Amino acid sequence: MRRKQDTLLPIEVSILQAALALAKGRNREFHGYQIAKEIKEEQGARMLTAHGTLYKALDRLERGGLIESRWEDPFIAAREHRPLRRLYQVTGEGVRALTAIPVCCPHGAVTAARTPARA
Amino acid sequence: MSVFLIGVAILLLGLLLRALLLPLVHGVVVGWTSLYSLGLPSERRDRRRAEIQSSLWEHAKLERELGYSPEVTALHQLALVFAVFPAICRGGWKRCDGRKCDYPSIFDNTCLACLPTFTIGLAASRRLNT
Repeated sequence: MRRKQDTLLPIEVSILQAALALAKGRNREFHGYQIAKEIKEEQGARMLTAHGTLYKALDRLERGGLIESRWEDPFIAAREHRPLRRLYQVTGEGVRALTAIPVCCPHGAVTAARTPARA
Repeated sequence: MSVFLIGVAILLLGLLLRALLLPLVHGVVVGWTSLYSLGLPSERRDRRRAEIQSSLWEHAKLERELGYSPEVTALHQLALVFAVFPAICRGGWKRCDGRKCDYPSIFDNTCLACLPTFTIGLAASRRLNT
């Protein structure tokens, strides 16, 4: 989906909201599957967000400076016998964007963000 | 005796398929990821593949803990890939219709994802019509 400049796609809004919800808990950082699960639970959806959709959106958000990421310590992954996780974190810019940038709806129209006030 | 042997063979085949189903589905998903990320710069492509492999692992682990069988998990993971095809096709045709697509990934700019959907649809309609 093409995005108008300075707008967020609905999936990007969902990611930022889910990330902030997760950040209220123990960890400020999250990995891809964790965010997909959080979005599913928040929206009461039957299925997880598809991998392609999710990781493309995460990539766009990172290139836009709204989230940042790093690979986790390989030692931790090796200790737990699992693949390495890419850990994401919402930036201050991301928090501001969620409240300030309009949401670009699926049919191209631009609507106001859910919380209109600036952070 | 031969019926017994056939029964054992079917049972063993079933067990083998059961053991191989999840790795097979992981292979399909990773293969599909490799295909649609071909047009991306190598660093982003490798990262995308690694993240999806990690995601598949986390998904399988959680479903195992929730008591789902490997077959059900395999179906869930396949559905995650194929359920998105209709949306890709709608978006893809819209984007590619009559103008040059400037997206770096072949997933975006060639409507490649429509091909399997189209083929399955065609096969199904032929079968229904004969």
